[in-house]
Amino acid sequence: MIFSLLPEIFCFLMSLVFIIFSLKKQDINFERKAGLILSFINIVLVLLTINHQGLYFSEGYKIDLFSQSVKLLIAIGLFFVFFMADERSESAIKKSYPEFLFFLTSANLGMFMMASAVEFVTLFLSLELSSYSMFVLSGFLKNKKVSAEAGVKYIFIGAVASAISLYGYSLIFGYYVDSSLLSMKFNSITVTKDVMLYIGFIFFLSAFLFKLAVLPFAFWAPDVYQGSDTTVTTYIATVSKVAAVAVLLRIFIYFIPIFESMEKVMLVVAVMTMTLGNVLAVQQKDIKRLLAYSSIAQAGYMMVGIIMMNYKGAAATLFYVFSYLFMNYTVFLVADQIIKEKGDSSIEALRGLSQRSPLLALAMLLALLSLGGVPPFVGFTGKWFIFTSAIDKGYLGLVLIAFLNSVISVYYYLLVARQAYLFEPIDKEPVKTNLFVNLYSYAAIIFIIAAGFYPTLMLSWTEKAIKLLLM
Amino acid sequence: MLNYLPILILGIIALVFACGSLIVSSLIGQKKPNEDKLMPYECGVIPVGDARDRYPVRYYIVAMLFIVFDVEAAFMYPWAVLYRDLGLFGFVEMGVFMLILVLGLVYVWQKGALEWE
Repeated sequence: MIFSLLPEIFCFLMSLVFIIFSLKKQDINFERKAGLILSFINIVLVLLTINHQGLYFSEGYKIDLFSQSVKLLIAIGLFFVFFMADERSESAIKKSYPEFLFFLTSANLGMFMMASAVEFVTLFLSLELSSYSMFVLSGFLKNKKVSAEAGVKYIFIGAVASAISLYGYSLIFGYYVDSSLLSMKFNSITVTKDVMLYIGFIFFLSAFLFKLAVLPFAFWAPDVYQGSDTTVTTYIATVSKVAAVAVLLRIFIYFIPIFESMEKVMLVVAVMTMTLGNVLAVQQKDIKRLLAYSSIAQAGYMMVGIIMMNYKGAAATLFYVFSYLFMNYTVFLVADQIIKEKGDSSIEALRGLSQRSPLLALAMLLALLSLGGVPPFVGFTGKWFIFTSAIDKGYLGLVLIAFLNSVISVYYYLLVARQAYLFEPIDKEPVKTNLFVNLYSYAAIIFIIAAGFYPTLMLSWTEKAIKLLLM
Repeated sequence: MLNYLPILILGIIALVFACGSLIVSSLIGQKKPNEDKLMPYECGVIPVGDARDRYPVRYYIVAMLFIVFDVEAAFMYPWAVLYRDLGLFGFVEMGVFMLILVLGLVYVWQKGALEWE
């Protein structure tokens, strides 16, 4: 039993190590190396336990291929984010570097637990563990007003969403007098039409819709993305989305009889989310704000796959989240190099990137096209799977709207690429990078093209994971 | 919906009791108006100045630390009661819990949050 839980235990110990580091002033390079090594071991541990299965802690914690593959993705995301926080980061981060790593790790532990929790209180507590850490992280740049604003906005909207969520759970508990998702799952088949139960479930979802930035809870995203440090923004935009999608997939699939009757309403919400995100992204001048609106739009696409509530839709969503993490991380990594160099996050700062650093520019271009869903790339393949699952269920109109949305998104993604490719740079000096950035850029280019042409390997993995979830 | 009826009834009873006792006491109670009775009650001390005053942020740190260790103590009571039943498992669990708390205290101490000046 203890072996299957190794990733969580290790993640916990890792956070203690960072606290101990923070007690004594240490060399930042040493701390960074230790963080990288530890987070790499974390990935390895998840890989070692990937085929484990079981129920732990009074059937409140489920380990299966689904939870472990989500955890793998989260662990990889943490490793990437650790790489982004280097000696060129803001002085506030460098000053309390171990604390910064500690909060990232504890957020990561919360997300690990979110992926596995099958009991309402465990689920809620793990959500709060990750949320609190991210509230602190978003306001980490103490000397910057925008960062403080981001932190305050994040914590207030997050607290309201959590409160609504808890109220919803109280209604669900009042109905079932049980807190285990697994035993409720079987009860929900013979569900009576009770309004309070439906309200309870809708309310309960609010905290997770908040994390994913789906419409009624999406308005924190632009300010938080812009205000926090790029490292934190990347974490919020990639890893926390993965965890939220995992929980939503689990809840929707466990309670199909309940959500089936709300399918159309939820689809309208998803369509509104993607339209709002795409329309508002068009006029953004700041790359982080633009990516925030784009991530709202992407959350809308993911919601379509989640709401299908069948094998195909769920597998497609998991596939899309897999590729989304890498695509989004690539854009953020390139943007981060420029922001660190110029201290300016406007799109114009990317001017002439193709001449200054062709590799970074190409990686960014491919990632942007892939996010927009242009054919040969992995983002297109993921969207294709999601939309075919929607067509199979007979939602042709929905897919048409989503397609129009994709067209809008290609427009504003190309606005960013245009700055990088069509304009002359102000200074022709190559962008200062490090080995990891270059290696990652090559890997991302290969991944985005290869997984687009040959998705079978990844898709069969996600299908296997979803099959275990459906059991 | 019918399952929630007892909660509604409880709420109504609470409301009726609270309003009722206020109304009844104002109807049949003695009335000796006095200027001192209009003053805010502060444990018998005559109030000085505005209540909305700025005070050092250190109070918050001490208050937060107090809450952490207060909750810890409250958590240790049920553990102490069930100590024999839980055995070694309970002891180890509590040890881990205490370790985290002590580490937090050491951190706070090291960063100088316990120094008043």
